[in-house]
Amino acid sequence: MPPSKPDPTPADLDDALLAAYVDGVGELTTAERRAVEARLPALGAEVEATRGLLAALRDLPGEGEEPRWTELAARIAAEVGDRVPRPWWRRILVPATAALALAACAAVLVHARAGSPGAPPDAAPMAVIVPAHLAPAAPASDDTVWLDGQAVELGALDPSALAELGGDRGDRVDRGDDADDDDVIAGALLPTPDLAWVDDLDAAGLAVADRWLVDRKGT
Amino acid sequence: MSVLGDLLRPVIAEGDLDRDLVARFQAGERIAFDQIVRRHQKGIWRIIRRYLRDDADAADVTQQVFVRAFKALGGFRGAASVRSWLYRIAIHASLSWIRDHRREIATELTELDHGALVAQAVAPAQIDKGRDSVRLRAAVAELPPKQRLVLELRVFDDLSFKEVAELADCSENTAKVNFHYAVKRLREILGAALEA
Repeated sequence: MPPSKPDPTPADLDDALLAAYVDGVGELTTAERRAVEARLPALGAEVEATRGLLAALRDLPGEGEEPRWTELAARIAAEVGDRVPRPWWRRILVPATAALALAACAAVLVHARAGSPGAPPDAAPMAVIVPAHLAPAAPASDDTVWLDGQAVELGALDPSALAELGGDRGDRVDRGDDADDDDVIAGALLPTPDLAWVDDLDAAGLAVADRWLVDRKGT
Repeated sequence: MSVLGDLLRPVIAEGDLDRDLVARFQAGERIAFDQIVRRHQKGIWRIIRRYLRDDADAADVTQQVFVRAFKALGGFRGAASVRSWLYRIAIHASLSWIRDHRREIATELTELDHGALVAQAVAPAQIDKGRDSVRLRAAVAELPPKQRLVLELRVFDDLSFKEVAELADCSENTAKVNFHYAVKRLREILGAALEA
């Protein structure tokens, strides 16, 4: 049985980085560099021999005759063409995602069409919560007022609730056509879309309105 | 700036330029690829030429390498440097080419040996002049495959140990150690040749 090879000593391992040290000290870690440098005094001849051999290898003339680089580059450019290819995952994922989206839309449409004739007649309408900023514009009807981003049907309100909104006689809500009625002003709840009644006030009415405003500010 | 910083700056700048070109290509700028070709075609041809031993074949395979790179560059994620990524394609393409042309290569080598003998007889002075080069190349050819690969990538292709490690499928430390043993073995071979 042949004698087994002795295990490498720490010194052997440090020496094993000598060529890398000689050829590119900047690529060694600090620990590797220190380990080699600690052994350098004993490796003087090795260092010189390694340096000489590497220089001789680098001085070897290139093998063969180089092609004409411009021609080779032109051949490559001609073969690959002008279009930048997309990576495979983009080629597959984008159409697949588009197909899935299309299929989902189709499924929703089919489901909606199939579901509408058979839907129970008394089915409750779907509640839709609309944010205030997306709510429809102020109502055009004189029976509706716009309060806190919501359309409020005046006809559906309890008159006593209107009285609590600050009017002395909230049981009468003016709709703008009784412009000379003081109650219009006193009611404090006005149909916002139509303020044309202000233009119709005569001097006495304006004076009353002015007083009312002063009083309101005072309170 | 330290001496080390000065030494590393060109390497870092080169890598950044490559990455910038790849990013531009991936963004749809086709012309960036032409710049990548111009920057790396010589190195790619050299590494392929070492495997194939034929100038024209090396040029053809270089072209194939860049065509493959063009198709795959859109998916390049930058885990390795652009250069070592291209060199890896080049090594694989060279090995594939050798596998596909094994029979032709064997015939050509026989003819080449005959031609070399004739040349030696006709111009001994010229052969003598390049004797050291021939001896050195012969010694490199005798190295175990892994040591040879590491040594050639480092010495002839000027790759960093990190890039050598990526191409040789080993750790950076192993690449450094392999490099040392390649140099040591070369000295042994050359010393034995001189003694002979």
